[in-house]
This record gives sequence, C-alpha cells and structure tokens, in this order.
Amino acid sequence: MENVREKVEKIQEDLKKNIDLSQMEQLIKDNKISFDYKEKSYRVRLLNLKEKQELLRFQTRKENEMREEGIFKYETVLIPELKKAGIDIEGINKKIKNLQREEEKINLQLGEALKEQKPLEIVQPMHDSIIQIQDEKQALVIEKSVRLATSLENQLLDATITYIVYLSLEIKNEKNEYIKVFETYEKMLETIDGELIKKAVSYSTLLQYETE
Amino acid sequence: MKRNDLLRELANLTKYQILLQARKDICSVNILDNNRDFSKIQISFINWLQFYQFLRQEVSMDEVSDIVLIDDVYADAYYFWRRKKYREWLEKNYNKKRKEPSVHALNISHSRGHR
Repeated sequence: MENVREKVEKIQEDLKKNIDLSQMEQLIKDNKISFDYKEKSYRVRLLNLKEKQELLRFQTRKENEMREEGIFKYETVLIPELKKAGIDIEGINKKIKNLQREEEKINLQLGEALKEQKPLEIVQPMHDSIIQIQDEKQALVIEKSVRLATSLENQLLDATITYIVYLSLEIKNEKNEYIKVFETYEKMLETIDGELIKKAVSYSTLLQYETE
Repeated sequence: MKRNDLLRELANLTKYQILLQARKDICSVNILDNNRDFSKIQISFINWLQFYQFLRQEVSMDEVSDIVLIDDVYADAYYFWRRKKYREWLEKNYNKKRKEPSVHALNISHSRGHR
C-alpha cells in the first residue's frame, strides 16, 4: 500500500506543478473533472458501483495473468534479488524511516517554539532542517519507486489506473451529452494519443485516490 | 524558503474559511457543487478546510503567531505538537488509550477550552 501512495503522490505532484490556484479550484468544485483537449471537451468522473465491481474483476484477472506469465515479480521476490545485485531497498526503507523520526523530532521542537512565539532566528533553522529532511526523503522515495517500477504490484497499479480511465473518460458529443471515449479497454490501449490518456490519468487519480 | 501546497493554499483562503463558517451556521450554503459522493481530492480539501479553521482559531486567541497560516512547514509542526499535547492530555485525564484525534476532535477540545 505504501507504494500505491507513493506512486499516486508522484502523479498528483506532477499535475500540481502544472496548474495554478484557479485551476485547482476547478478540480475540487465537483466530483467530476472536465478538461479540453484538441478543441474537444472531456471529463473524468467517479466510478459507479457497477464499474467498481468491474474494476475489481479486472484487477483480479490481471493479477492472475501476470502471475501466470511470470514476467513481473512480487516485491517480496524482487527485493532480495535486487539486494544481490547491490540495490538495497530495505536499506532505503530504513533510511526513510530514520528521516521520518528525525522530522517528527524537529516538528515537536518547532511546534513548541511556535507555541512559545520564539523569534524567527530560532524557528527558521528548524524550518529549514525540516525542508532538507523532506527533500532527502523525497529523493529516496523516488529512488525506491524507480527501482521497483517493474514489480508486479506497480505494473498492476498502472493497469488499474489505466482501466479506471477507460471506465470513466467521457467526451461531449454534438448533443452536449457525455459519452464514453473508448468502446473497449483494448481500443484505448491501441490509441496513439498518449497525451489525452496522460491527462485523464492525472485527473482520475485526483478523484479516486487519497494520499493525505 | 516557503513551501506551500496548492490544495492547502486554497483551503486557507479567507473566502473558503468564511464559506465553511457560513455552512455551519446556515445549512443551505454550499462550498462544493455536489453535497455527496465526494471525490478523494474533495475529501482532502474538506480536511484541510478544518485544519486551517483550527489554526485560525489558535491565531485569533493568540496561542500562536500567524506565521502558521503562511507556511505549510510551520503549520504542520504546530499542529503536530498540538496533537501530541492533546493526546497526552487525553491519556492523563482518561488514563486509557484513545484513537488518534482528528482535526475535528481537536476543534471540539478547543471549543471546550482545553489548552
């Protein structure tokens, strides 16, 4: 689950870098997100109960397929293999946890200093230390997610997000009604318009996945 | 160096803080277009609205300076410390482990005068 959170955070962070406050306001206004692309209007929306059940069936089927193919490996298998190749994921996790503990310690000191309304010369260095720790932690999280990008869990998550887009991406027709963009999941995978899918993936994760 | 998240910046806007208060006083005031089936980002936004409402109360009562309203790092540190103090207070007063307090719980304790 930690990897899911990290991956979703990454998608959301990338999106947030490219939008401003008024665009963010549009994203939270409704439980659907509308956007224009190549002069056409699209939207992504929350899945209904039937679609959620379909998604669950897809996830289960996909996981079974992947396991049978044997190309991608579960992290429990992959991590020891990476260790033999000199890539220590457990070591990275340990470093992340240590940084978290350090951040919590400074947060408590800073929180108390703020309560006591200590001057900026006192609180600023603690603030900057926290930012430094967060940056170090972020770098480690990125390193870990790059190393584990080919794990079965991560590949399954990619497929799941893409399937959510297939289920929820709609286009406005000439009658001003929203209809599904792709008739089948396979047709969506064959599309050459990666940019449209990329946008829809970003917006869908904002609707479907919580990170904080 | 200031670090702010857009969603939090939005929740901290006076406009939304006024709407949140109005929503509590007058039920017909809506902050979002939908009033059910919230998306995950909407749930995060509502949580941040309450977080900043709590911080604004603390600032208005001079418990902390308004520096917590202009920088996420200060906001998080103060809230983290405040939550720990609240948990300690709960344990001391009830002598049993309670679940981790939410922003809402802190707001309640605040209105009951706990420091």
